[in-house]
Amino acid sequence: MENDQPSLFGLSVDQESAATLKSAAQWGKVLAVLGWILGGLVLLFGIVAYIKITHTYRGSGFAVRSAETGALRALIVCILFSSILVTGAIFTWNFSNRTNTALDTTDQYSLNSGLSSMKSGMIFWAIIFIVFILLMLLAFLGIASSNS
Amino acid sequence: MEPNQDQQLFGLNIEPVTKNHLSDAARWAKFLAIVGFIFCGLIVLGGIFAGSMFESMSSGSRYERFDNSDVEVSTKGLGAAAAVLYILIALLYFFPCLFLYNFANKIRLLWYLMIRKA
Repeated sequence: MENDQPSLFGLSVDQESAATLKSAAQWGKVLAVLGWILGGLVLLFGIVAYIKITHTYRGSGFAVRSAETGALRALIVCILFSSILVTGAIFTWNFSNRTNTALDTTDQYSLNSGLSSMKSGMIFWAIIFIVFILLMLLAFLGIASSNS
Repeated sequence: MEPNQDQQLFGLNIEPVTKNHLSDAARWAKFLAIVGFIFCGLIVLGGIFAGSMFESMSSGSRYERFDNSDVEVSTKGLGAAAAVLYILIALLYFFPCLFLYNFANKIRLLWYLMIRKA
């Protein structure tokens, strides 16, 4: 793609920064693949645990409902964690792939797109952290109010 | 600043769009790093708390078996082990946060220097 925008203050990607970006992109790919594997394992664990728990309690007739509800909640948490990991890994994968393409073909558009993926990944993880902190605060408030 | 031969060789520039992406990424990276540092501190505090909790449990924990004989369960050393484990996790989490913080700071410093130069 043609480079139709001016270079900012004469800053360019030189040999050293290209090597650093290439290395970051390669490690990003490793991280993305590991994220997908971990996401898959978390999902698999949730499904297996749900099936095991529901099968164990089905025949016993003891506390079936609460066990099934607990297993279902655990499965939902596993699905949530898995989707968070997989989505985060997609951003990392896109950053790696596009940055690699940019460095191999000197395509400015791919470089911008790769950095945009990195930015989106950062925003995604920041939002996840904010939600996590809010949930923790709510849990602490709940514990504090139940004790008082 | 004149572009050198390396820069001409690669032909990839830092355009205003690239700068915006990097600036936003740096801003969020700083946020993530600071939150990470806070979490590291909380993990260390949790480790100390868990350590002292296990140590206090270790004295005089006696339980009665089904055959009415007493058994003493000792958790001595468990507190220290838990504290060490928590601190190791915090240490492991600290370094990615430090790298993120450095990335964010250096990108901001770069823009600052470029603006001063312009």
